[in-house]
Amino acid sequence: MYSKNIDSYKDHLRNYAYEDFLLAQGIETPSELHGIIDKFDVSKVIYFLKNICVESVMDVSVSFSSSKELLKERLAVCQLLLKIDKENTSSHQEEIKNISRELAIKDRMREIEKSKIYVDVDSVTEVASKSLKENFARYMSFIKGGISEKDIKVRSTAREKLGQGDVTGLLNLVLPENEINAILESMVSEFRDQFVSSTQHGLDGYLSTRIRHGTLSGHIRRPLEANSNLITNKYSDKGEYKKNEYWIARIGLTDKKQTDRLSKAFAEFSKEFDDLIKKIISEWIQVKKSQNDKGLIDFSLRKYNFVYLSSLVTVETTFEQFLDQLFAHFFDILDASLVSIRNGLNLEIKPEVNRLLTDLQKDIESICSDYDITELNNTISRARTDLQNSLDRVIEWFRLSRSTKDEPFGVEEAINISLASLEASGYSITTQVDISEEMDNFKIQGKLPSFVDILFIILENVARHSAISDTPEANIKVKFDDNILLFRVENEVAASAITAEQRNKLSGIRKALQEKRFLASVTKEGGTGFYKIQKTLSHDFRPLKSDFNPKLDFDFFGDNQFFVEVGIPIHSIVSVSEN
Amino acid sequence: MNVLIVEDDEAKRDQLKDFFETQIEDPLVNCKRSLQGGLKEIISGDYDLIVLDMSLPTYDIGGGEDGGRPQSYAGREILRQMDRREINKPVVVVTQFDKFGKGADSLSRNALDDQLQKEHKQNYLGMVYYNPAVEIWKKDLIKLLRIIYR
Repeated sequence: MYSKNIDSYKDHLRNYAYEDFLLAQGIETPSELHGIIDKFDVSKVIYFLKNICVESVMDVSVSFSSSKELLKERLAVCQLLLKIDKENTSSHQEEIKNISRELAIKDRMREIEKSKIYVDVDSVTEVASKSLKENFARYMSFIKGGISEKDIKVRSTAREKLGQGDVTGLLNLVLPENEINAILESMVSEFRDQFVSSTQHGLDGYLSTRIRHGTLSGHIRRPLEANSNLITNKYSDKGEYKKNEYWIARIGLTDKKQTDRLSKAFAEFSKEFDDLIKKIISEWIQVKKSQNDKGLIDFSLRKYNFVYLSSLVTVETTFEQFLDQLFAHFFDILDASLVSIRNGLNLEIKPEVNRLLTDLQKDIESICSDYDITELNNTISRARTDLQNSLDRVIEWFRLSRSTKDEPFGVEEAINISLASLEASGYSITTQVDISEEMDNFKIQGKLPSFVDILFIILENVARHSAISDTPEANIKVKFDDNILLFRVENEVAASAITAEQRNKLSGIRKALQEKRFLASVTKEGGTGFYKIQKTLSHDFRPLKSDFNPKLDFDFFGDNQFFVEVGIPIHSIVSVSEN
Repeated sequence: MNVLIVEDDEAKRDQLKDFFETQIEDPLVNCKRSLQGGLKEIISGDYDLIVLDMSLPTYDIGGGEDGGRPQSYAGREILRQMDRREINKPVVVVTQFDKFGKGADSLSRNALDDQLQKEHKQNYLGMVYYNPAVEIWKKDLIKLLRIIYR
């Protein structure tokens, strides 16, 4: 009552009373009360469970180690309430449903973040099996038929060096130039190209869709945008940064010289920060295939790669084993590259963003010395910590995760996860979702990241391109249409965004898609969202039956609306019925 | 001297760690990153000095954990819990904020310092303002540390 009617100063006493009560019963968590409820007046237990055993009270207890554990306890409390508080069944059921959804989204988000670094191993295997088998057979005929003394010596020395862990020794070895080694080099290079740069199933396409195309920038910028207003956007791609009207007004600056100086400080900060993000995207998260390429994901093949791989092949090596050796080797290379990126983000980017914020703070203190800038200083301090946390989250993307959960999911879940991903990337939209009833028991096995790839791009476009000044709204409808799972997303667009130039741009994209001229754009960023959607549809959801193909359509309609329609053949999805 | 630093900002945490490792005799410095991380360590460990940030996430952020409820007065909560458990070890608060909380709940740094002085006379040594751009915080911390060595 004190807390509700006066202030929160004594809330900690309520929280300690909660802990002391549980301790007196010999239990640590409120859900354990189920065994001893009969000791108490049930109405008091209901009050306690409903109003006291909430996250904001329970989180001071040392009995929980994570927000997930806390949520699970609240779920258990609600399940207990369902048993003893029959009068309020529907509100408890609603809370159980909301908590279960929140827990599922947390789990799935983790899955999505672990899938940022991805190679479609099945597809690479399928293509490599067709393109390399013949050459492998020729290679093996040489191996079995007898190779030169030189070749034998290099291979056996390599095995020796590997056994001794003598990396320097291994690096100094070179295979002789001859036909057998030319075949090996050709197979390894071809495999590398499929693994890394195939626009359909290679690493680079997924890097572009899942990291470079807005997600990374959104994540890192987020602590400086929304609630902080420390960074602004440019007027246009090559233009100046917008004035930071928010802080100019909050501080109450009136002098034009001071306003200009403060605007300049914020603009410089915004530019330097965005330049840092650009550097990460264009110089670090790029695949390097030759010495002249930029990128920390270094797949440029050197002599020792071929020496190492040649040492693994014996007269008994099968083609499948050879493919396994190639995969293992290239995943090792990828692992090492990811370490470079993580180190770069930790050791270079984190200190650099700190420096930028410190310099901004110094500039502000000097420009606004006769104003109260407590709020701004606090905001910068908070943003500093939040930025570190965002960077830590991004750093975790660059870890190789070989196994992914394959739990079935529903369409609503896929939409919720896409929205959570969008929010985590700093975009804000509202949605009206209408999923047809026939989907109630329809669950999909696998391909959750592919669904999120498509939905994220569509919803990100709504957030970024609708030009609505308030939070844009997306209307999402999902239904079965013949043998297609059909998503239709509609949103309002500001009149200023519906220009002849935009219409022509969309026509150009539709034409390129119809003429199948889009794959080269899949690994690029900037105006490539629809190409990425098409690539995901035609590769990840390629139909088993040829009469049903994935569908992608989009255009302006009405006075100021835009729609995107995506149709996924049901035959390309493994569905699990829930009874 | 066993020192526990409870601080979620990595750069500030590293600076504080460096400071204590160079300024005190026989330093053994441990770090935690959240209210619960710090509290559990204080309960199970044996420290000669505890250095607290005021605003902390509830749980360690990372590995899929978003930190739970951000707690503007986490440092005060830890002090209260120490009192509750009769853990009477010296505490210093090092903060980069001038103001805490929101609305009716908000307090200035000075007002919070006063409150903590009144509530925790036995072990609260004081509050130091941390600004990464200037090193005055080090001198202020040294002044407070002298109280322990008296």
